[in-house]
Amino acid sequence: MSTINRHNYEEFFLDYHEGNLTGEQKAMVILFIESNEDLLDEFYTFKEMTLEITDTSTIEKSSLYNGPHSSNREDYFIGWIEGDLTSEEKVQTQELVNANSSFSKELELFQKTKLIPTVEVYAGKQNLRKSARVIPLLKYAVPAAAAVTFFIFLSNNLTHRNYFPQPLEVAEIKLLNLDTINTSKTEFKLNRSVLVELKPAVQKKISLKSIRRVFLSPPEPIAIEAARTIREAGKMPEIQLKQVDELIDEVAELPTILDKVIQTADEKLFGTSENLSTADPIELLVKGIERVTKREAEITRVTLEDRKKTGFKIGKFEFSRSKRI
Amino acid sequence: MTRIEYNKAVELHADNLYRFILKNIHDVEKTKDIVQDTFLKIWDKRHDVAFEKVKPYMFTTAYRTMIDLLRREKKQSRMEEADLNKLTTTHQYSDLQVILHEALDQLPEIQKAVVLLRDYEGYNYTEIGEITGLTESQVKVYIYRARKFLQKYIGNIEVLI
Repeated sequence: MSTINRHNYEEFFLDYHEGNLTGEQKAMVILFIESNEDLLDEFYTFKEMTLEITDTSTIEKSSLYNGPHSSNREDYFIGWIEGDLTSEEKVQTQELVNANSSFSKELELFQKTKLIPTVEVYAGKQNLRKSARVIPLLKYAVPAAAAVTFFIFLSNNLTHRNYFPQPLEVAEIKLLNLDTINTSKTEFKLNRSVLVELKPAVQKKISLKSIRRVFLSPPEPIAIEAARTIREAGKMPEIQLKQVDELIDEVAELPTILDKVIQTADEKLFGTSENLSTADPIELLVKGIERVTKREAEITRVTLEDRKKTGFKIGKFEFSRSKRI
Repeated sequence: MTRIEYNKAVELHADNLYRFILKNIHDVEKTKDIVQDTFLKIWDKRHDVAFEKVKPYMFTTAYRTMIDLLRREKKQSRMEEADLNKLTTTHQYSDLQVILHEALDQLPEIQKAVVLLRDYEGYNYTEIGEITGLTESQVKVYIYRARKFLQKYIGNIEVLI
């Protein structure tokens, strides 16, 4: 350090008060002040600039340490039960627990928060399964409408022939409590809208036990008017009851309308009567669906608690058959 | 996924899926609808979903259907945090799991869902994130928050009894 003078005295003053000067340098500073009294006040000002520690508060350093401590223990306890801790963290956590008995209780409570799975059984599993050749439940409205309309047109003696240009997606059919058909008048409903009424489809009980999966040959003519209406309007065409009644009158020479339908179906659609295994309109319906969709359909019989209502299902749409007086 | 694998998935996972949704919304009929809807979607997508991946796909589909339902019904909890003040003190408990499930129902929907996926189905954070659309970190945070709530809840109950 050089000799003190009026150009560098501040540095010496500061070092003097901070105790950085040797005895010789301190003496030099004193002598300098005596010969430069105008700087005496400034010398003491440097002394006052030294701050004294008055705040003795301290920070909780435990929260800064890496690893488990009292402040973050809950996270480590949860990490313990979740399996998120490293082996080292586990050891540290265990040490923390060992050091404080109340922490042990906390950890125990966290361990109790693990849920034990209850047993819940989904009763509808059977309905979710898909058997071979079952067509999945898909976009219901159009195919359901097509299926019913097809049956209607089967009944209508198939006066029109054409080809359906595009196969529709669809449909699994389920019979709901349809153990027998014994209706003097059968009402078909689609989504609460009455579509058509048929005069006696059958006058005797027909067991449906024989209903089984049916297979069809390549696509054949179907009810084009219905199909076209469905495609264009996106809804079920209205069928006048009168049409059916007239049809029945026309085929009065035959024992039943169903016989006529079957005969017509045999001859015009299915080739030979050998392909029909049962005189059941539902089976015809299935055949109709299969023809429309060009895919196989399957009937599944379902027993319902409510035996007052009979019907079948195509996808979401329930077709109910209720007796009418 | 083949039809046989699909049916196997029904056998293996339908109950779990049913339980997961039921625990979340406590409505049997709606739960059945969601499960059926989920399996219909899976059947539709069976050619795109490998059997090995069907379970998370199934839970993802069901979870999102459930969330849509809850939003439609405006029942989704807006709470970020569960409210310990709702602690029920009028019942006598002897079964910890009963208490826990009561506490579970007081959690925000998202916390409840992640805890159920964690404890019931054993999914890790990443898988839960894929199902719920959350990041892994968010899943972890929600699980930790839920655990703290559950711990305090049963702690309070233990004090009471």
